[in-house]
Amino acid sequence: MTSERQSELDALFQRLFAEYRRPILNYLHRLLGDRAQAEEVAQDVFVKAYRHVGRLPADANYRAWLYRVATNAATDKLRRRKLIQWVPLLDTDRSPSESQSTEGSVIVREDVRQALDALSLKYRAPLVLFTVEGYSTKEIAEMLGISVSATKVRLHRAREMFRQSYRGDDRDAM
Amino acid sequence: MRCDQVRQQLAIYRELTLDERQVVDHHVASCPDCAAVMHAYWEQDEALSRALGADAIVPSRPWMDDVMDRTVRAPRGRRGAALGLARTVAVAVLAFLVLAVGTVGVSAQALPGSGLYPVKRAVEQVRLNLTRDDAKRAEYLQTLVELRRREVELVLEQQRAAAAAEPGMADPSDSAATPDDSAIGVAFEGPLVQGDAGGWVIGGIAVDVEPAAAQSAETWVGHPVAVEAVVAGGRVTVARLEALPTPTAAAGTAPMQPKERDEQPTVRPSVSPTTSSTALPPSATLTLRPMASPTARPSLVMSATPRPTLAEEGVATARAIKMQTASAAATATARHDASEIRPTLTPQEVKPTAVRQNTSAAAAPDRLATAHAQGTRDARAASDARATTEARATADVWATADARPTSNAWPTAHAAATSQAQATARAVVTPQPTDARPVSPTDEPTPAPAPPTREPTPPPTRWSPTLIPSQVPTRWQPTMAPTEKATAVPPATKAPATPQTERTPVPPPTRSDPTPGTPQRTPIRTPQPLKTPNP
Repeated sequence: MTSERQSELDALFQRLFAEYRRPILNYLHRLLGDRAQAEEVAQDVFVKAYRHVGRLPADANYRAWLYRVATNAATDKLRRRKLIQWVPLLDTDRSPSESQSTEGSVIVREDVRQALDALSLKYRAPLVLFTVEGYSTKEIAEMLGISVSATKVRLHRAREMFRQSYRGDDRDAM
Repeated sequence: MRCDQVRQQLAIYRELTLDERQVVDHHVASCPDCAAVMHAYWEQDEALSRALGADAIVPSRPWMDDVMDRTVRAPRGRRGAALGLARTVAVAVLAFLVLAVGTVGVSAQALPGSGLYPVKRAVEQVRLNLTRDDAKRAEYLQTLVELRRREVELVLEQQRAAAAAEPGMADPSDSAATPDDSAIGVAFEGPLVQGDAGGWVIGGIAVDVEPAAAQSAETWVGHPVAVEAVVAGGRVTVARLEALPTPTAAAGTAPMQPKERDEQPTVRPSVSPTTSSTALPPSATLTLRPMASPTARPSLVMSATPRPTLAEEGVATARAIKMQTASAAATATARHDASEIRPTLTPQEVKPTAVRQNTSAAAAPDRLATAHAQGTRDARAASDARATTEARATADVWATADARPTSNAWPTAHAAATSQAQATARAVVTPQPTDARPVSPTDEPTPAPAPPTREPTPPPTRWSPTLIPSQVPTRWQPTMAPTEKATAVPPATKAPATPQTERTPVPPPTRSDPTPGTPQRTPIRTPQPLKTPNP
């Protein structure tokens, strides 16, 4: 690889990094729910992107590619975390005094976090990408490497699962 | 539109077109359940956006520096170094392979004197070593022999062509006109033939033989030879000749054939038994097979006495050499009996023989056994090591199937002794009936042995014919007294539990004072004269 080509790739990476470091980091933060882990995974995502950016065609969808890399990295991270850490998902684990002392916004945030963590990443990623990040089903399909119809199906199932979990939290909270 | 279809549309409501939204809204307005689902999805979007959107983070500077250190800044050197090393190794391996293959390929046409010729020979050697099949290996060796001759011919052609091209060299065959630096050492093989004009031809190549090798060449005319020569000036000058083994010569001296072993002796022994005794040749083995029916042979009784060990044999022999007994005549008688019986029967054949004992004849082996036992005890302390060595060596010789008497006169002497003993036995022993019962309770009746028949194979046990002193061949050196001669002990290591034969020998008519003892073989391999008994 010539130095000119390497310089071009370095410039391309720096442009991608400047453009997507914040969305990717936040996307991973919303998927994982932890900033430190999000930063760790995001760092790995960009290192992988730097190593493989030269193999992409010139007209590649770098955003979708970066999100796919991030989703896969988050999946690996969640898989490893599931092995070494138990995350309480049920609201019964939280003491009544604690839930009554926190403010409503914090409670909603925690409930959302709990309901979101109850989903597998297969359904969590399209839900976050669609509802929070605002991507279309076509873009999500590209990011996740699946078809648009599969994305719609996953999104519908994710909404149903989240609704069941989040409504249950509401009942418990009341 | 069904509810499930409407709910799938509700999940992606913001992406619906206006027409699709009108259809969905119309259904939701008429379906409370779908309206509740639509409200729940709207709450989801609000909650997710409010909860997760508020958690938006901004990448920190250290985090970005770490990413840049791991990407744009750092990996260039590591990746470059790794790629550089891999590229260097790959290029080196490729260059080596190309060079090796090219060198081997070019060296196949190399001739003696060229720089690649050692490579060619090394490749040939490697190929030869890798050829495991004998037939292919021989074929390849023959190919190499022909290749060496062809190389010499090519070198000759090149030198002659070069000499013809030079104007100052009139006769290319004149070695004196050839500069020394053109001399090439070669080595080849081929049959050595002397031409009509007196010249030498080896493998079809006319050669000059140096005076140092001329004598060898005259000796090996017609034989295949290996040649170390110098090719210079279009001529081959042989510096060294070495005969190659021919198929017949390679076979070497064949071992003695059975026919040679069966040669009948023509010399009758002349040594008197009264003046000297001769150790039994350890290789003398005669196997005698019993006949189907018993005969009036001297009877034999097997005893259950275990055979002595090899060491005891040797010790007994050493002791016997020292012993000077007054009953030399009796010993000779016992030995006479042994010579008659041992060649006739093997221990297995003798043991079950059911014949009656002759009282007078039975005394001889008893006395001989007594003398042997005494000699064993006395000699054990004196010459244990030497006797053991001799006994083992003797046992080895006896164990060989090709064991044979050391003298050609031995069979004749033994035959005479056997016939004499048989005559004596007939005069003393009463022939036993066919259905005679064994004397010992353990003995079983068996047919009496047939007359001795000599076979080249050794007997199943370590029994050998004992010589009659008067019939000892002249080539055998008298080494011991008649008493020791009779104490031939079979090697016990072969059959230590085999019962020892206690026979009833018949004393010869020439002896009146038989020496007691058990007829046993003396396992002395190389008899040494220590003491000559007084006649």
